[in-house]
Amino acid sequence: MPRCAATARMGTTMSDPVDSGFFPAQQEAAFTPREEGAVKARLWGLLETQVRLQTQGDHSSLREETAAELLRSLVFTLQFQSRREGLPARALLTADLPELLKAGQRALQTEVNTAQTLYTMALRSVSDFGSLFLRDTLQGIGQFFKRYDVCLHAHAIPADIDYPLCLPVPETLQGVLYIREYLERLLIENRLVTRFVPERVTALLLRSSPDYRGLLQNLYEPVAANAVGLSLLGRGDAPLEITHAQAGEIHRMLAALPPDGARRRLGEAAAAVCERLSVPGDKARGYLARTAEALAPRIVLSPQSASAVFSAR
Amino acid sequence: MEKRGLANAGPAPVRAREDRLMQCNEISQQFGLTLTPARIRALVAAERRTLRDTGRLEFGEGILPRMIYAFCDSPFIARGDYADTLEALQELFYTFKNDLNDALSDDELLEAMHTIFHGRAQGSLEYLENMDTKELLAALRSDCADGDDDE
Repeated sequence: MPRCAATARMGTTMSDPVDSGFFPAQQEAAFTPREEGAVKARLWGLLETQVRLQTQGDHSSLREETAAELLRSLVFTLQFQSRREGLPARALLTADLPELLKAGQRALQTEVNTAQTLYTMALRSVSDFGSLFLRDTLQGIGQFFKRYDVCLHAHAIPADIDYPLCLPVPETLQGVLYIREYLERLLIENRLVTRFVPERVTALLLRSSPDYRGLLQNLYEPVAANAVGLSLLGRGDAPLEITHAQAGEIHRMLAALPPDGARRRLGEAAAAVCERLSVPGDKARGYLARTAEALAPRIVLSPQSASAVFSAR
Repeated sequence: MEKRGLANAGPAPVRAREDRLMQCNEISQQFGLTLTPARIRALVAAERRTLRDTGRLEFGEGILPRMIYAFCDSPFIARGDYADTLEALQELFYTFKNDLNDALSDDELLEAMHTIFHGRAQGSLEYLENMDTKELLAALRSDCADGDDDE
C-alpha cells in the first residue's frame, strides 16, 4: 500500500504502529505575541484567496463561522505539509505559504486516491454479517469522495460514519486522513473476522448480543477476544466458542499475574493468533495486541466479567 | 485559531480604507455629495462595528465604495444626510447578507437595495429596515420586472 514519505518516516520511530498518527507533538516553544500576529497576517492573505475561490468573487464578506472553516482547512493543510517536509511550526513565519499550501493539497489528493483504493477494497471484501450500521457506514463513506473538497474544506469529513471500530480513529486526524485511517482499521478488523467460518462468527455475535444487527456494535472485538482467549487456553481458535468454565480459567490465569503481566500475556496470545492465522502486517498485529491488552481489566475483574468478555456459553 | 483572533488579523488597514473613500469623493462630488475626513473615519469605524455586530469578516475593500457609486446620484439623499444614510445602508447591507444567508451576491443585493430604495421605499430607510428577506426578494423580483417593463 502506498504511504507518504512522512508516514513511512514516522513509522520507523513510533513505538505504536496503530496510533502513530500524522501529527506527533513537536517540542517547540509557543509563538510570541509578535510572531502570532505575523502568522495571522500571513494566513489572512491566504484566506483572502480562499474566500475568492469559495465565493467566486461574488461576496467580499463572509460570516465568521464560514471564514473560520476556511481557515481551519488552511491550517490543516499547512500543518500536514509542514510535518511531511519535517518543517517546524515556525516555518509558518518564513515559508512560501502559497507553495506550501499547493504542495499540501497535492499530497492530500494522493491521500484521497489511496483512501479511494482502500474504499474499493472495503466494498469488495468487508463482510457486514447483517450489521446495518456497518452497511450504512460503508455506503456513507462513498459520499465522502463525492463531497470532499481538498482545496476549501480539507479538514472536513463530509460523511456519516456511525459504525464503531474496536479501536477508534484518533480525533486528531481530520479530513481524508481520518477516512483513510478508518478504512485501514476497518480492513484490518475485517481480515481477522473473515478468517473464521461465517456461521461461527454469526453464532458468536448473536451470543454477544442477539440484536447486534441493529445495534451500534463492533463485530471485531468479540471475535478477537475469543481468538485470544482460546489461544491463552492453548486450544485452537476455530470454534470461536468459550464456555463459562473456560472463561473462569482465563480469569484465574490472568488474575494471578501483576497487571502488566496480564496485559503482556494477552499481547503474547494475540501474537500467537496472528502467527497461526497468518495475519499480515505490523499494524494488524499491533491492532490485535492492543485490543487484547485492553481486555485485561475486565477479564481480571471477576469470572462473570470474563464470561461477558468472551460471550461465554 | 480563535475566530476573534482571525478578525484581529484584520482586513486592509484603516488608513487604506479611508483613502479609498476619499477617492470616492471625486465621483460623488459631481452630485454635490462629499465626505469630510472626520465623516470618513466615522464610517470606517461604523463598518468595523457593523461587521462585529453581524458576525461577518470583510475580505475586500468593504461595501462602502460600491455603495457610494450606486447611491451618490440618488435624488432621495440630501447633502446633510449623506454620511448617515451611507452608514445606515451599510448596516442594512450586512444585515441582509446574513438574513439572506448569502443567497444574493454583493452586486445583486446592492442592486436590490438600490431598486427598492428608489422604488417603493421612495428613499425611506425605515421602509428598507422593516423589510424581511421574503419581502426583499419579492420586491426585488417585482421591482426589477417593473424596471424591465419600463425599458
